[in-house]
Amino acid sequence: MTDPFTVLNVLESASEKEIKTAFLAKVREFPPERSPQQFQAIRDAYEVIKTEKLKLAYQLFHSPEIDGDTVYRSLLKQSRPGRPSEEQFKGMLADTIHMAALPDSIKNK
Amino acid sequence: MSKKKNTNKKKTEDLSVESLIQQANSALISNQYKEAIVCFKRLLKLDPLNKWRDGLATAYLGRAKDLAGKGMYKDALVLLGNRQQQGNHPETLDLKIIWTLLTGQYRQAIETFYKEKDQLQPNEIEHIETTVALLILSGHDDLLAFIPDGSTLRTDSTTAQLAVRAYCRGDDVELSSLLKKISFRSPYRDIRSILSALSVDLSDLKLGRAKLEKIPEESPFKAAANIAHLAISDDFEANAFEKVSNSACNFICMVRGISKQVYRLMTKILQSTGSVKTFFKALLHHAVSTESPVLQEFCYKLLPYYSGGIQTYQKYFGVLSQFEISRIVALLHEKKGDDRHAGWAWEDASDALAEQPYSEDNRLIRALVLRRAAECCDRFCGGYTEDAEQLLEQSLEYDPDDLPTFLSLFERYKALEDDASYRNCVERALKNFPEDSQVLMASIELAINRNTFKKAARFAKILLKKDSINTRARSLLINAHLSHAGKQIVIGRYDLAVKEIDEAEKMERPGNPSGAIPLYRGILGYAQNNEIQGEAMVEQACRIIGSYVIGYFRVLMEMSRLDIAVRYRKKYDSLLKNITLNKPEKSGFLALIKDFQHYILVEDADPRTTLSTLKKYFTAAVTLDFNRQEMEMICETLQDLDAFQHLNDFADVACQQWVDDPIFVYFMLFAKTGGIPMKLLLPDINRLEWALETAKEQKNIRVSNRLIEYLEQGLDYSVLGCPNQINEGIDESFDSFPPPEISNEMLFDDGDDTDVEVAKPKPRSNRNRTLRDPFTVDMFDD
Repeated sequence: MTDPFTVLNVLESASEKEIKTAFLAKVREFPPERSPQQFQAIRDAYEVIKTEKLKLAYQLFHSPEIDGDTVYRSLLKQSRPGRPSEEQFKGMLADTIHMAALPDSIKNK
Repeated sequence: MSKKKNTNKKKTEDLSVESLIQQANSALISNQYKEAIVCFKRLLKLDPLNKWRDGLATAYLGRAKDLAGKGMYKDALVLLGNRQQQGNHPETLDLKIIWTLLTGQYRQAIETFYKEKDQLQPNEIEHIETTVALLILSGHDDLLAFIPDGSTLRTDSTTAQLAVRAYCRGDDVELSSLLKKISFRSPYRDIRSILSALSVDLSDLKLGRAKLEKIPEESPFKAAANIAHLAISDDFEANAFEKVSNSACNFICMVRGISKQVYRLMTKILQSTGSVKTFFKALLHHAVSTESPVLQEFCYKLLPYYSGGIQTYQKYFGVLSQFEISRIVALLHEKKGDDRHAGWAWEDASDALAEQPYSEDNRLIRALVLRRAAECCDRFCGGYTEDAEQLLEQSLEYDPDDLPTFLSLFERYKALEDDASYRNCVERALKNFPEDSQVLMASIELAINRNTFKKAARFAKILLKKDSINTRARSLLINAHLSHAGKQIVIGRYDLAVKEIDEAEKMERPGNPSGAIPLYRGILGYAQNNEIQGEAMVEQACRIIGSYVIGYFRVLMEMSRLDIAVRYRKKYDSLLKNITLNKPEKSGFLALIKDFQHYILVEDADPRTTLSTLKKYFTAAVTLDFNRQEMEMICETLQDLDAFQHLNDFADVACQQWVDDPIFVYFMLFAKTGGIPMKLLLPDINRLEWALETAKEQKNIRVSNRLIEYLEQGLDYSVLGCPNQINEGIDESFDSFPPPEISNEMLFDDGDDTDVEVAKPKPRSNRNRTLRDPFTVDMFDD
């Protein structure tokens, strides 16, 4: 199951009230008649952490599986996206020219 | 290199023509162009045929592409020239122009392009122009000097370059207006998509990625689009990340705002595929060097997956509490499926919490941990255990308001037939949850079991107030009143019995009478020796029930329980016998079986007493057409009634209809041995074992367990007494045990057989007896 805190976009320290507010906001965003799958995921997530006791149980007994993607996404949340310099942009394009020399359509000619 | 070349030449010099042809062709097929060139050259020397020229031309082209792929464009161009010398082969002009461009000979390339443009296909022209656009944007704008005025390559170049500049300085308004000026036919159209994708709002990266995906695969900008895609991807695309160049890496880091350190970490994580240890160590290393709390948190979250991590983690980030260590150890065991050690570790965690200062949170955590320990205990033991009950009870000390724990304990105490604990638990639950319907229902049942019918009626009324359509509660309330009436009848307080029956009548839903009220009024009549009232009321009850067989059967059961004069019982026994002489109807027979099932569970009723009365009825019913489920239900009931002869008849028919169905084989052999496993003969054991195998194949655990239970009891005796090989002699002696007279009674008399009770498996029906409603429940539900 996807991390319920991520699904509802709340912090692990969120209160019962905050969790409920986040749940209702998500339901408004993904109503069951329009997005049944997302709605189901949102409801499942809410059911897991809707009370303090349930939330505590989840935190105590659930050990989320962590992979590269999880780490990357989490680090991205901390990141400050920006723009490359013109030089960096040109450098990136220059590195791709070699690949442009032999696209598949020409390779198979 | 030259040595190698000579070796190749030398090799081909020794070969015959046939071998050369074979080698040349196979080299072409396997893209070994260098070897193919040598072979075709040799073939041409031996015999200058056109087909060898064609082969050589193909090999030159292949080799040229190989070299271009390695960035050796000049060498590639030389080979293209060699190819042209091999006669009339279609010129690969587009390759020649592109590779000339990439060697930096812009003037020559552009001049050739515009001079030979007519000979090129539209897609080739498009590809060359887009490559030129890419070169210009990547900093080779000196190219523009050779491009004729008025060409889109020249006119759109300034706009595209300004757009790149606007993007880089973050001027999205300017960027947007510039991008609008680049037409969809322009050679710069793909950079328009890339810039547009990179400048979308971070919350809508999906849209950005969709724009990039629209760039065609053959576009020279596709590689740049892929890098842009990586930069705005939510996922860490492992393989793609590994392949990008240093410049691309810088670009991605800038766009995503991640440091090079993070980038390196992600690359290390890539190398740790499948190994939690390497993954953990990579994270730990970076968490320590960057002092990143996020990475430290990940290291902590990885501990339940890597047993060696706890010590290392503590070394770098400080000592963990004993509770935390026990919690992680418990999770580690759980992940390995080791419920035994997991349970112990959770108990350790609970003990560790006890050492910590008092707080409400701690108490709740302790309760949760104890409940988790109980779950592990159950899983390890494969069912309810006393240890788990103790843990759950202990958890209620710390968190007494946990309804699921109470309900779980109800179920457990019921299953373990621990009446005292059940009662205590229900009473405590009622204090905490006086209005909960499940607790109220349990309280009603408990009160009925303890013959405190007034209490039961009170709880049922509370429940019905909350949930007026709760049919089960209504039925329990009616039965509570009727049971109380029964109690009054037994002690001769008929006036009070009338009151209770009246109360029960008030609770019946209008238009949906069950027949229970007139039946009790009838019994009350007989109790007062008012035969006229008794007969009239029973008649009325039978009409409401819709079956005299069921009506009389219930009257007999209730009369026996309420100790009504024997003469009246005999009267109904005779009435029941007479109306069951005819062949039964299927529905009527099944309804009677359900009534039997009910009375089997009622403590002070003995439905077996009516079996001799119904003997013909049961015998005739064998020929009815039952489905498999119905047949199993009938056999089950007959087994519970110890009606071995009838069970044998029904199971025999079932075995013929559902050939060798394990459950019916079991019933038949159970009947044959009179429920005494030690009477199983070797062929019987073999047959049961075969049935067990079939049940296992069918993954029918319920039937498998029953077969194992019966077989084990049979085998225990034979194993203890003698090995199976020499069982036959012993079997003969078993034939006389128990003595024939008792044995015959067991097989043909469905009545008492208490003499041999000890040897029989515990009747399953008794297992829940103590906690069931002693009076009818379902029989009064219509």
